[in-house]
Amino acid sequence: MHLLTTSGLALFLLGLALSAQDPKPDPLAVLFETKVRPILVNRCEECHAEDADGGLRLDSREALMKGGDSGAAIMIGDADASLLIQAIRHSHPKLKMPQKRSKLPDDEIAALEEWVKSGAYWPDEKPAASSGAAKQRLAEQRSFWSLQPLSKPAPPSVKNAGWAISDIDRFVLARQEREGLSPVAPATRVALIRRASLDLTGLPPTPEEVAAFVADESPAAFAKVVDRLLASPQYGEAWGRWWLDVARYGEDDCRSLDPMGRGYNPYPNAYLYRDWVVQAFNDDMPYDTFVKAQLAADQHDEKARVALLPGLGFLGLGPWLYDNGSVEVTRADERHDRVDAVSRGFLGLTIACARCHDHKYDAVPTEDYYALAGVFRNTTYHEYPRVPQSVVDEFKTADKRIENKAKLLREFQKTESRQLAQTLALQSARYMKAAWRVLGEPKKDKALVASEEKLDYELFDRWLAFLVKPPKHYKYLEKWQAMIAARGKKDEAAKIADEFQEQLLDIMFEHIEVEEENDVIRAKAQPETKKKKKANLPDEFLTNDDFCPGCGLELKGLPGEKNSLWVDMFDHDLDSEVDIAQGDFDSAKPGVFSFSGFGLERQLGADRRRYLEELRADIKKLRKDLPPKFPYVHGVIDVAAPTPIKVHQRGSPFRLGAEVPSHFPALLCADQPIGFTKGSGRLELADAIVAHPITMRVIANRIWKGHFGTGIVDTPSDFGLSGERPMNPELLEHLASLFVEGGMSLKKLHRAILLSATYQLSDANSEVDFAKDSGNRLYWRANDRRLTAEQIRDSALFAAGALELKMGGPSEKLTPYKVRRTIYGQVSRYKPDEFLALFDFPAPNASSERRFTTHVPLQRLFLMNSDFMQQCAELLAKRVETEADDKAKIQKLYSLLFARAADDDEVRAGLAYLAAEPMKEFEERKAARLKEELEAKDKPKSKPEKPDKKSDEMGEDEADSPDKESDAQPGMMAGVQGADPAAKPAQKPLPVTILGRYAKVLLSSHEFLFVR
Amino acid sequence: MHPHQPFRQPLTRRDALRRIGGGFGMLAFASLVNESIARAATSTDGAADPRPFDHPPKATAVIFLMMNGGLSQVDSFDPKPMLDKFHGKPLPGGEVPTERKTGMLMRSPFTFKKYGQCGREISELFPLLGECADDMCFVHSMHTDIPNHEPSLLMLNTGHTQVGRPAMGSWLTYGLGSSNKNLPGFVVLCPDVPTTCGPPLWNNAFLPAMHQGTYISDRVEHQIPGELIGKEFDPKKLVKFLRNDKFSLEEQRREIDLLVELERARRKREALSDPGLDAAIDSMEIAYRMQTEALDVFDIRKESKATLELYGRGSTARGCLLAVRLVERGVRMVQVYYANHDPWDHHGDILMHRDTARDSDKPFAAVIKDLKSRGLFEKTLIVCGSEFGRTPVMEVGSNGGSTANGRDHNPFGFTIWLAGGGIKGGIAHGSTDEFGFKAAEKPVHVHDLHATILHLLGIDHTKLTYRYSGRDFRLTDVSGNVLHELIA
Repeated sequence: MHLLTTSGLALFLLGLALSAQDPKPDPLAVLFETKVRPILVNRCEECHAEDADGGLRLDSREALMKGGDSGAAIMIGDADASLLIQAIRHSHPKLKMPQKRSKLPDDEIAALEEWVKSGAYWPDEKPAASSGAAKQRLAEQRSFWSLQPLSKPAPPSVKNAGWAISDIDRFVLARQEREGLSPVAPATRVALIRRASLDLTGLPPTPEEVAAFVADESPAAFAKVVDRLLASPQYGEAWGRWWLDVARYGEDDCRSLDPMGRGYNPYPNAYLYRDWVVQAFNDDMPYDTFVKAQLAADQHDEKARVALLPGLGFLGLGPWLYDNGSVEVTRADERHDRVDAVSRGFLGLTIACARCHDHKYDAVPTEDYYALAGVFRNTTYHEYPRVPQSVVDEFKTADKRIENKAKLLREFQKTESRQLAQTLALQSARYMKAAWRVLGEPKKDKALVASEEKLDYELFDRWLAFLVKPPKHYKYLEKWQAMIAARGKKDEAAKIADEFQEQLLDIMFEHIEVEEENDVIRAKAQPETKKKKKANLPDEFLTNDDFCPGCGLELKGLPGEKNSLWVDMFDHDLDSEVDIAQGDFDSAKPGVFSFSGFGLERQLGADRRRYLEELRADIKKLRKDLPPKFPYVHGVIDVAAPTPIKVHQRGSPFRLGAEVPSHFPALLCADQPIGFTKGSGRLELADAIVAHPITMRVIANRIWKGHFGTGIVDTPSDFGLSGERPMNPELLEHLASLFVEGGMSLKKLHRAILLSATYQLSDANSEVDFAKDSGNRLYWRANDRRLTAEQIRDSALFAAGALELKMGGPSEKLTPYKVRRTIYGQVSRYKPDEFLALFDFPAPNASSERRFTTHVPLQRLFLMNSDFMQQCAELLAKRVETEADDKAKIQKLYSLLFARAADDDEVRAGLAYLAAEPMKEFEERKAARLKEELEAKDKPKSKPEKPDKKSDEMGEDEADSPDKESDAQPGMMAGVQGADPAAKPAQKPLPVTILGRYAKVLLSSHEFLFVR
Repeated sequence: MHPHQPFRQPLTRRDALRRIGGGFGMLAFASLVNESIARAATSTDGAADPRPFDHPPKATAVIFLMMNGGLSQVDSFDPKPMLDKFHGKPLPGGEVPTERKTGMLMRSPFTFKKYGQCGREISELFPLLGECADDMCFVHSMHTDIPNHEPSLLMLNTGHTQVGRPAMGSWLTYGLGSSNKNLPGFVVLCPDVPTTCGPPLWNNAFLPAMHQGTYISDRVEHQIPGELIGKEFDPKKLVKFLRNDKFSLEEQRREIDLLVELERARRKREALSDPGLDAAIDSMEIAYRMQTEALDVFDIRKESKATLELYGRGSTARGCLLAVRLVERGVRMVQVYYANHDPWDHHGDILMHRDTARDSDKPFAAVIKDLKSRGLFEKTLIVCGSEFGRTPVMEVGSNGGSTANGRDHNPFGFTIWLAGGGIKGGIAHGSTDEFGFKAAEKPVHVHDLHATILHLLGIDHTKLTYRYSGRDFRLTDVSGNVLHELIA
């Protein structure tokens, strides 16, 4: 707390506030703002404010002069006679303030005395909590620090001038010196290059890179390292991912009801946005271009447009929300997401808070929220192909052709199946009579009867099972079963069989009639003659019918028992042993007459079979010739006819108020709000955002926080009243100005920061500094930070020598054996990756401003038990196995992992571990290894066959979608968390070795998992 | 400083405004923020520090039995004689739109019987639960917002109809911690993931990762008739989330010992002060112990035959027994899903409730009885219900082969029952209209249920907040009234 005297900061702000009229601040004002007001606020106002204790309020000069129950609190000019002073001096007989707290420090008492003596200066201001005068609020907050034009403060003079390398250091040091802090020693070169490498590329340095840097005696040695890192493609991957946190990048949404497949709805080309972000960082795209592309790339001129379009993923990748409950609410929620992501992400303002009521802290009235929401009301989902239109057309034509033929095939099969069922129903009596010979008195063998009577074996088998069903669903079999029980004769059986067949045919025809009626109902429900296209795109789900086609229709059905019999015979076996408790609904057995796939085909005549085969071959060929589906950007576009939005009173889309034209929030405008008039107004919004100084402060602070762990403002997405005030405002002004002057180049800003002495400090402690600033908010040392989820996985793979640096392309599910960088793993909103979540990867449902660092036991279990860690460790062990002896192996491991030699203690501990492998474990492991090797030899390398539902219908060996396939693989938590029982075995696990386990211990160490 | 209160004092707009002009006070404010951030970075031993209670708690743990898919209230706990009278007639006052097309009123095919001293009527679906009627409190006037599974499941579990808010269990461990550091504080049992909606139902969302629900499959495989446990039962399979069969505990011990030795030596050598290192060493030890403790708690072979028989067979029974065992060891909340997908979702034939109820009645009753015999009933809150109810009118025409005997989703009125810690037994709260369609007397929104649950656990639902994206979030959003009438 001692750190937090307010002098310099308040002076700075005072300077900003007053600079227009008065270049020299009034010393009385300075005294008041730097000393008196903080004392009153911090020490007194907890009790003496609105519901003031003793009737005394301390929030205005008038209130103080008026005083409370004991009389006036201050006598202007006479400190000794002022009750306030007596109370804080504890010289008053009764009043001793602050109550129940320790006495104020002497310097604070002295400050208040001086203030009273000097006339109790109070700046001219209106009472703060006045009657909701929005205009006044707005005027007040327009002078808030984060909204001011960028100032370019001159570098301050510092005592320890020799320490500073750049102006950044002078600002940092000046602030420290003001608080009596001093920076610790610089980091070692080994620590520094590791820090810089992880910071800029997300990967540790190689031992060679470390050695080269340590040996480089030129003054520009570190600059060379920084430049190399900034130029490496891995920089874009590391910092691109960092932006993706802010952009709430996710690759799917969760659809609640969707005829195309419920639940998981992936965006197949989401990666185009991710790759574009990575490339933008690598290309050092100016930040204003970067922002504008993400909001309005489609509205750029043709030349820029093509390259920038993927940036629209910021808006196009959602979240899009799917609910059949209420389209109005859903759409409002989507707009809310956009307002939130844009305002917090780019502007550092929590404008989304004003959805239901005026912002509680900031001067953002509800109208301003809707003025932004209106922009997104007039923006809708759109897919932009990344290939020429001719390619799109070609694909679509070919695809349509396949679809048509597949439909033909399906319908043919369906018709054949239905006709077959009807034919078979006509043979019911015949099969029942034959069944009597098996079930009834003769008790003949069923195979014998089937062959004697020339029956279809499978059908007969189904009949036999059907005829003994308990009478659970209908009474139609009662007579038959009673006859069997009474050992009925052949004639009786025949009579019942004939009766049954007649009944069944009646029901069958009745069902046909009902279906015909239903067809009419369905046809009538189509308001136009043209068949309605199935909803598919996120913004096409508007009515219940889009989610659940036909669900709203009142269709006819057979009465209960008749229907049950029909289902049981023509559709599916009602008594299928479907384990409801296990949710296994798909395994229902077919009804007696229901044949599909091969079962159907073998009943078809030769010509029909040939037709089927030809059709199938045709489809197969077409599919083979089909060019790969063209990639397209999941983006947005303006609606054809923009309409103004109305205020949703209390946030409800059903209680609409006044129309609000789209405009930039008044708070961010000098006078009248900047109106948006072109289309949705996205481009104008983007222009306004990049023209506002707060945008520059926000991004400069984000970058700084990215390097130091804490920000100058440590609420990086909230630069409003409820956010933090800058700990070193001059430094932030300097960085933001530097950034703008450098053409909004992020790389230049990185470079300036990394080359500062501040960045290059060690993480050493200083007790003096620590006592004053335990949180290291003034950067007197480097912060130790745990690696992020991505850094942990990438670094482990890197150390294992397994990391593949291939860039870009569709995301894949992370598994223990995938070797690409983590940024190329799937990012799901629907089913978050458990490994990423465990190591504090942010949920992609909303813009994220920071990574938390938690330490939970499950993380340790991951490090100890996961197949991933074990695999990396074994690969790492392989890198050192050719070393001469255990000692050399240990040294090599330390060199690979930590770029240093192991000391004697570490070598001793390692040797003891390696030598003492328990015999039992050793034998077991050896046996297991042998077994695995043998199995590997025996196993053919083909893909395991799996039952394929589609092949039944399509008659093709079509694999499931890639998503489903990868779903079946165990994820990163394999070995830690139970993998899917149906999961395929791991692809290529290395056998466990003692050296591998030792390597794993080193991979789990603080030294590896933290950056210093 | 509590982990969930980034600001010691609620910041009022007045306070905030006062910080504008001169910059006064802002640093003090900043330091509080900083403190909370520092705290978030180092509070780390796996169990959140217990937050002081807002008032004395009545219960310390929650067992949430989820009949996912939608239990029909008029066929289970909320009998409506008017349905017999008006069977086959249209709903007076006109059709109420739900998810699908519905038709005439439909009587319940099940008979009801009075149970216990309270005389509550319960249908033949739940005879064993009926015996516990005097311990149960029925809230008949529940209502929710949207007649579809996902939004309603999300509402019941996270207080919001869209993905992205923390689950109730996450809020509970966040607010109260877990009293057993060797087990996860929030456990979700379901035979297979995903249930409809899946992990978002037990996600920590923006709360720190440690508050995520731990999903464990309670699938029972190859149980032959007459068997209570199943030949292939192996607790190791259940704790796969903690164990890797490849490694023995002895080996892990050696690894940990080596790592601790190396870490301590390094710290001494380099005079490191990072408190995170202690946390890391601690969590290593906890992780190690978790493996044995978890193995133990999931080993239901340690239960007597009588206990196993009390629960019966199948995965719901298994889940219920595990829930009681977990709560016994100090786990804060256990949720038992009946099965994956929407197993109670009987659009086509309400008689299928018979199958699902058969697997639930016995284990649900067993939870009450078993908690009592273990002396845990008074401290454990049982909540049981569905994301919504079903219509008293029949569904028509959907799904082709309908038997015209099913009921559609009904968010307007449904029943949830509670029992145990702090709950008045043998009472009913609120009611639906005479046909059982809409909540009529004393309507209870899901937010109110959440507020009440938190209240019973000693938490004021308006005070359990988390600041995220510039706003203080809470489980009950901006609503929620505690139902004091239910509380003993």
